[in-house]
Amino acid sequence: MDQLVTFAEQWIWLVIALPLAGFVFNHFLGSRLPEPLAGVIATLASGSAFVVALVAALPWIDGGRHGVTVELWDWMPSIGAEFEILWDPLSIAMTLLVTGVGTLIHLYSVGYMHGDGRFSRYFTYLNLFATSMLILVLANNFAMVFLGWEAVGMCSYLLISFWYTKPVAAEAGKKAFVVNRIGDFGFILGLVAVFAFFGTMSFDEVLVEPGAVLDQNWATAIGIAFLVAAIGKSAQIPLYVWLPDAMAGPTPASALIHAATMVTAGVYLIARSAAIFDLSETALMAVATVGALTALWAAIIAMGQNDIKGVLAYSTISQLGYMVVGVGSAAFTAGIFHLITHGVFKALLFLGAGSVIHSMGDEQDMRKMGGLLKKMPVTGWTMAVATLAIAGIPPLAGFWSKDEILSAAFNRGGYYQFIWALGIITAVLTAFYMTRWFVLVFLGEPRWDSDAHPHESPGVMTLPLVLLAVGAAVIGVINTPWRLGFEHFLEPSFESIHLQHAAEGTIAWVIAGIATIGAIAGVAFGYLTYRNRERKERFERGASRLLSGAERGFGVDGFYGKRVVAPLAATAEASARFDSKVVDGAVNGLAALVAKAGTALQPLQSGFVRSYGVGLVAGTLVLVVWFVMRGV
Amino acid sequence: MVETPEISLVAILPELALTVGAVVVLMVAVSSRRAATYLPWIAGLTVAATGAGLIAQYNDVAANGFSVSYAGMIVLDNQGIVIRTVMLAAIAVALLVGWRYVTGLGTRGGEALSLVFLSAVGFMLMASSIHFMLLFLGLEVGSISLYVLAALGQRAKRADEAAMKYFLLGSVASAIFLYGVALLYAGTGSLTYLGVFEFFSGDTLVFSDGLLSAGVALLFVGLLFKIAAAPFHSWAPDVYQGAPAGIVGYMGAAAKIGAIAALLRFVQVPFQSVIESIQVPLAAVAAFSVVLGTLYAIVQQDLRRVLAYSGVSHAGFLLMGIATGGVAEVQVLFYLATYVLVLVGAFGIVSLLEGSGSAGSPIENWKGLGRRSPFLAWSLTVFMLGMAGMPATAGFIGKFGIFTRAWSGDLEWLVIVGLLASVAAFFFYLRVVVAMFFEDGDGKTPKLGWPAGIGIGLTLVITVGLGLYPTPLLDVLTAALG
Amino acid sequence: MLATGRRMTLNDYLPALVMFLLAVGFVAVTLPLSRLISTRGPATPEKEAPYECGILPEVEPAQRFPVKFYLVAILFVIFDVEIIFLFAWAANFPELGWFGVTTVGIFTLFVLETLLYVWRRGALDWNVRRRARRFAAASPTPQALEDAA
Repeated sequence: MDQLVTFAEQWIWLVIALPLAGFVFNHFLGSRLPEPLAGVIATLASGSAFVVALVAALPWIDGGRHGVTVELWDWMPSIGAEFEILWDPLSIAMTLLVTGVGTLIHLYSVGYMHGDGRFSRYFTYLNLFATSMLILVLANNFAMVFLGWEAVGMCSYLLISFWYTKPVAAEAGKKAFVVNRIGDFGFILGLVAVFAFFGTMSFDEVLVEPGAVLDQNWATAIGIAFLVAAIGKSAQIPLYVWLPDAMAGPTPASALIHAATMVTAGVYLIARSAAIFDLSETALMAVATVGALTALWAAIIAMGQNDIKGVLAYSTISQLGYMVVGVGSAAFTAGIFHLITHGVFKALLFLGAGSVIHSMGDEQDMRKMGGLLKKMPVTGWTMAVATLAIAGIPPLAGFWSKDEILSAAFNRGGYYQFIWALGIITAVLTAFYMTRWFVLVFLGEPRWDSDAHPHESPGVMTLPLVLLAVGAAVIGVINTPWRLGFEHFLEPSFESIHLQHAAEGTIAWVIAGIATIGAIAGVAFGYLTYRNRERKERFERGASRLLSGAERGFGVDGFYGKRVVAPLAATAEASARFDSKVVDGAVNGLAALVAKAGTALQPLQSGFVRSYGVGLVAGTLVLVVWFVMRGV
Repeated sequence: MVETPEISLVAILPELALTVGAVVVLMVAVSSRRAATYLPWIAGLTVAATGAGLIAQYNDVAANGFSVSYAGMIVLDNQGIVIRTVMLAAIAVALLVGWRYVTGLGTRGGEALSLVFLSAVGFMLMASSIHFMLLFLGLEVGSISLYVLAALGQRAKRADEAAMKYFLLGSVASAIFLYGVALLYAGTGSLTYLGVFEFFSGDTLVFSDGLLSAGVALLFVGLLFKIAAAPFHSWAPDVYQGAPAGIVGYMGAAAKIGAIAALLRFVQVPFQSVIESIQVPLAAVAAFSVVLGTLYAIVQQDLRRVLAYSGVSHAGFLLMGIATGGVAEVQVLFYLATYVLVLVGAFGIVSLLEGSGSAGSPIENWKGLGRRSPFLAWSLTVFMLGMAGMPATAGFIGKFGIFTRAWSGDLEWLVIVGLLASVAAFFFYLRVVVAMFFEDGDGKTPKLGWPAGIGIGLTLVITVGLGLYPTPLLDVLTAALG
Repeated sequence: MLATGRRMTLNDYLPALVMFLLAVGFVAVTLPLSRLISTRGPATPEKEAPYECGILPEVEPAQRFPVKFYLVAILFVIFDVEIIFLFAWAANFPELGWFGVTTVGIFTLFVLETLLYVWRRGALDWNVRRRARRFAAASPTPQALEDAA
């Protein structure tokens, strides 16, 4: 074991370096390689990082072992930000998810991106994303987290607008970018505040005993700042609007970035700064509230979506809400547990959706699908597993993690039982809309366009599906109420804080029972409703107002467009008009005069320079008056 | 006999080297038919000699500590050396990336070169001056050289216009500054920094003297104009857009270096004891610059104007550090050094694409550059990210340093304004990046010569290198100023 | 003399006041005086003419003067102003001693260099066409700049 710990300390940097090497290689040589090679190299880079991480993780698997830090080089020592890797249970879990699921998605992409003109460029971005995400989760200080945070954001924009010739994709990239700036603002604010109080950014010093430095109010303030960051990155209310649009990118990229890994960075950030949130009940409650509302709201919207990826996008938002509820209930291990299981089954769902889209010739409307199970058996059956997993049917993965979050929230009592109730309603809705999704796509009569020829995808795409389906089925066993393996494994990372545990005894059974009955009811209702055309139509008529509202996302985008973007744009326009009338006008007017008169000097006496002097003189006057009034 | 003031050659060695270089360049330019072949050698020798002068100065300070000479007009200390080094670096990179412009001027290339050196002399003197008259002289020597540079070798109306406006408004600002000096003298009876400092820390009754207060305000206005802080920025967009692209990056950088050097000394010595009353207006100007620069930059359609307005907001960030009152020297100097280099580098790329002349640089022209010239496109991307303050670039370290200092200096509100603006700023910095990589266009394909390649590569290495590993520079700065 | 760091008193402003009064007084005295002592006769055509003798201009003078006058004028001003420094030195020659000689020597070198430069560049060439040719050769058009770039 000690040898393995030494191995981890010596070689863990490879986990970041290997995808980086893949990125550098493909960036310079990728476009000159024959098609699959660039993808294979990228997959190997990611896969070998996974192997290194797996070996290095072995000493920690049994739990109870503290993390080690490995300093690579001095980055900014004056602010306590070295380039330093923290290899502790929390980062191990995240690393294994990122590299493991990431590798499968790389592999799948080799098939999915076949024939794309920018094949190698796509894998360049994918490797760069893996590098950045690993920097984020392996960081041992907030500055490095921020570096990774910005870099994954950049990769995300690059991949959303990968097909930038499509206006939709370009717009979506822009939107994701703008919305995320708000979240980043929160992050920087928190960063500056942390530094102002601690004089360092290093986790070693900030997170050991923050209570000695921060009073409760400041802990709340920093917590809220990080919550804003998480709201942006993890697509919570009110900033979730970018994520559905982000589906304009290639589907495997959506699976990796906008479902399994990057969007969970906000949850990770909160879990990592657990010691700060531990000081402030207010901040935790704010987190839990945002999460619960988001989970419910997104689930409602998901019910009315007709785009095969749209449902999954809102479902991702909803599930992220669960994770946020988890960390907001101080059940940090439960939140991370759900993060891991969700990473597996949501990646699976997206890859399956990609497989369907691929075989239907880029058709994404579920109303034009149906009956695909026969044509695509592998995709269909793996999707069935994934649907049941996310719906929370025991003993699949989603059940265990969701139950643990809800149980912990209930167990925390008081206000959190209200959160729990919202979570249960969401769970029923989740089971319902996911069943609807599955039925519309895979069961029933074919409703394809006449030129569609659905067929099963090639092995390079179905292999990851099968592997992920196995994962989605069994990964839940790492943490069951009988054997809290994962919680035990994570505990060293949350040692100093008051971790909220799930309920025990009879209560636990009752809670699990309620959740299970809810999930089964949701699945049954969804199946019965959408399997039969008559019932489906009756249901859709009955709930038409709700469903059509949900289809449009209840007009939130329009609201933002009208009430937020338009006034801002008008302000910018106005200042632009000022600029063009007063400043540019002077330039243009002058240029025009120059052209007429034929000399440069004459028009200068025509008075246009005056407008330039206005600001100068006015500013001078203000300063002079200020100084004279106040004295020096 | 009049007492001979103490003369310290070492205190002015870099300026001396540059002056000699400027003279030699002019003489060679008019007396030799093959002047063009000599120019690179003279330029290189001058830069090398200036560097040697700086090393001599550094050794002198290391051995003897700081020293004052020329009848209390010039100080030789580490802060001045750092600023002059930044200036030298700016010259070196500017000449590398703008060399094509210099040679393109034919026999007037010598004039451009000589003006670059002379302006540097002026702004370097501002850094070592501890006397208001010498400060004014430095300001004028530097500024007048820049006015001429703006107009040099141009037959374009837009350029004449820009140069004329720069000159007219600059003269007004100089006059305002000089008037401030006069009032300051009238009020305090001293023109040395030390004398003014003693005056302010001695007699508290005078603080209500209206003329003196107005004088101090005017002094600051003069310098704020030079760094293009809002609302004294109106010249910047036109000049940045209209002046020859080959040299405009240097023009912006040099004026900022000189004026920031002077402002830094202002809050350290003469106005140190009254910093509380100066802090608020400085912080207000900083906030105004940051917000206005960012807002205007967002709506610009021309990369040169974007860079001009971004320069306004960078002036605001620098002022933010200065407003803390001399506790953020290291951060301000780090920010200044990294910003000016990136500015020079970015304009170098503009001149490679648009030619060295006065053509504007609409975003339209940048579309598809990522395909036509990946090196330049990626370099510009890094520069833009650096200006925006992306982590892993020097710009982030600089902004972060200033923010934290301002925060602990009780300027929290200013930090929040700065943060908001720098978040919004990503938008316009990345617009050109989007145009280069995500939009198709068939503009010109720039030809990259080796001097420009070296200059841009150097800036690139510095920007990324100091972003990943800023420790050496921060250590040097801290040791030098600590 | 003023002492460093002391408040100025009103007395210190006295010279400025005297100067101001002198300036105002000069105007106030000379203007009425000239009016008083001048003789005013009837206007004759000769008196109205621009010149008492010589050829009357047939057309209005051109709006703009040839730039060569401007150039010479500005050069004159530059070198004229330099003399002010020399005058100050000459007035204090004995006190300044070799220090003064060296300083002024350096200064003069710069002035001479400037003169040499404007001369070689043809700024002193009265032949406008020839100078224009030299200037054009020395200063490329924007087009030439573009070609070079």
